[in-house]
Amino acid sequence: MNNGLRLLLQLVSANADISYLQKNGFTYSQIAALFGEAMRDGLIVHNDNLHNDQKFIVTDKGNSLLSNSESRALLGVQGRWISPDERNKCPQIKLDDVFLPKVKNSYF
Amino acid sequence: MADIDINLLGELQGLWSSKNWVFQTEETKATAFNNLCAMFALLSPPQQQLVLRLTQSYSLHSYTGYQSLLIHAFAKITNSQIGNADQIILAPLINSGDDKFKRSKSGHLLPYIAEHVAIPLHQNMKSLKIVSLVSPDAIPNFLSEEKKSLIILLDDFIGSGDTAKTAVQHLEININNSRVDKNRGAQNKSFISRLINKVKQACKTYRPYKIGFNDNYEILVVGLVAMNHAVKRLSTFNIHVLSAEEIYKGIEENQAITDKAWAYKLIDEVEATLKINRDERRGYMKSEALLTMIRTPDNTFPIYWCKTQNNGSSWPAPFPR
Repeated sequence: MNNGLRLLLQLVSANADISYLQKNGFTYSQIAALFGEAMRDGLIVHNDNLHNDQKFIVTDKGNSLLSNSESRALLGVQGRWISPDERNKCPQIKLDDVFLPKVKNSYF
Repeated sequence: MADIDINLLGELQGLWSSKNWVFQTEETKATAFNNLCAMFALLSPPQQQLVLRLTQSYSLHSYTGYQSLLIHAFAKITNSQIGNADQIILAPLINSGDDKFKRSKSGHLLPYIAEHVAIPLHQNMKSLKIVSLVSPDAIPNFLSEEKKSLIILLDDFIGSGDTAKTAVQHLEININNSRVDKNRGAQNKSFISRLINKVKQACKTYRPYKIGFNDNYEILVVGLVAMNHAVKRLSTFNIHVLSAEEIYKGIEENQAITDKAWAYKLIDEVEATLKINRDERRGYMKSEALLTMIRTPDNTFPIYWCKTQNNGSSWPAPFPR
């Protein structure tokens, strides 16, 4: 599951606005495409409960996708409800590479 | 101002998908959707609810859909309207008197498609002689006392009915002037007799010009889409309009909106922030249209096509004109 879809499911769960996805570079049409994909795959459904403001809910299938073993291995238990901020992601280096951070990026 | 929450985005996505609108490219489609969402982000929650209902009634017809719309519109022409016509004269619905520069208009698209696609498919018209013209000004040259003619004026959209009314009026004046010239001969073509004739025409009520002449023609206005209120209005002037689709006023005639005062208050609030002319509020002549053809008509609510706000900043119009 791509990170955009994971974020979308989390936003639907939390009934949140989409500004976080926009800050991550997604346009409205890209978010809508993700939404359409999630609807088609049965990860989100329309909420028929009229007493609830939340018009869409994450299905059991969507929830299990958020907390499956692959997600847990990648993101840990907290990955069920929070996703990594992709802007702070560093490219992976080889085991015998030496990492020398720039001074301005160093917290020391 | 409110941002878009995930529920609203979901509703917009569902609405957009269900419309199956055809755009020139995937990029223009994405831009229109992005602008639609950006527009919603500038609205308050009650305004968002209203505009969502309006957008549910919105129609978009791209160029690729014009052919089937025209065939559909021509299929509605009845035998009694064709009558015993010997020829059909096709021309764009334009008021050439208003356009000194002879600019290309939406109506210019249609006579050629009508002649070669729509009429050959019409059982009772395909055998008739067809004259297809680029301007209604040339129509009098093709009328004669011996041949009965059905004149069809074509446009993609009949909004307020103003253009149709003026164009038909203008055409009938031209036809009569041409007949006066033919009947009276060169000796009566003096400036004074022409002037008297024009004053007489202006003093009479609408469509008086057939009086005293042989009515050997009928005029029919055919649009791809027409507003219901315009069709009714034109029928009071005895102008017959046919269209593939009829659309209704977005608020006044929208059954999904019961509280009209609430809706008008909200739309007026939004439009007050837009840089538009007074007569464009709620669409030109308060047409309240919810439509985009190749170009969005100014009869459509300006929130969908206006590009600038009063404060100079841009307005993310999804269907700019």
